Amino acid sequence: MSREGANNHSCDEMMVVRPSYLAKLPPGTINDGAYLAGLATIKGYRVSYSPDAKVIIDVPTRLADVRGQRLPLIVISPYAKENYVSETLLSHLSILHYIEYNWILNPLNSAVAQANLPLDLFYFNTQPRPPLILNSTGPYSYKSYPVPLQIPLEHLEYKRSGSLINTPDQYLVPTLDIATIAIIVASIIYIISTRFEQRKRTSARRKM
Amino acid sequence: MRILRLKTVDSTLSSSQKGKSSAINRVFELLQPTGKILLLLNGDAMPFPDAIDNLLETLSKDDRLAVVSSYPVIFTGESIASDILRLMW
Repeated sequence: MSREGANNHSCDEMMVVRPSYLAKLPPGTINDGAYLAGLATIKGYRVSYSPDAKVIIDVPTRLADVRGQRLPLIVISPYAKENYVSETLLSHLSILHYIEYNWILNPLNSAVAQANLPLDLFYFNTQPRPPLILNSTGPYSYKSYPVPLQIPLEHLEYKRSGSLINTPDQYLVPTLDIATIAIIVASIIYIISTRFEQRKRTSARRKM
Repeated sequence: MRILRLKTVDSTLSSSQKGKSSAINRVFELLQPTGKILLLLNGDAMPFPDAIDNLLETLSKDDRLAVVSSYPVIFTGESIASDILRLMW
């Protein structure tokens, strides 16, 4: 976000740019503001912000609306798909579910068991990609932006977006397992029977 | 000043669904030869009355400036949700 003195970071909620100074964005660029600002700096131009150019950001004000806020998830793995955007609805539970899935563990609870797995983010049908060594110079340094792709897009063996399963909100609705249902039913029966006993006693006292 | 909505620049943009970067590139193609300035405004953002003027004024002061961004103001109110959002931002 743009803050006082942070002239090198760009708030892309609202910005003005000189297109003639810049170049096209790579397909699927997620943070276009950061990309354009980085590109301008690399090309030798300046990036700034105007503290007087205020823009209102419309954000949720109720707790219920916080659900659905975006959270970034970056998968770092030699098997992670390159330049891939997953459309699978994930949550923090998905990470727990993946650990359980990968190490063949029993689920912690039904909510974790029903959380979508982030499996479409990986491509296991190939050799693992070599690690990228970040350096102060060369293609994998801060001087090079964006970082070059390891596999050219035309050689990717998978689609660049997709979803393993599409069951929105499935995991947000907690399902009751048999043990929980049994406890609830037993509690209801106990409450009803207790009240029934109380009424019987009360009516017996009145008759006396 | 003329404001172009991305969808009205090219009717195919709305149906192509190639994302925001693709739409920006299409507008870049139109504006790069002209040297004109492009204002990018997100759909969930609302500028203060003089905000666009201030952005343009800052940009016009320096020929080496390629990008000028705005100052976000978040209206969240006073609630638990607001506290969570402030923490997130």
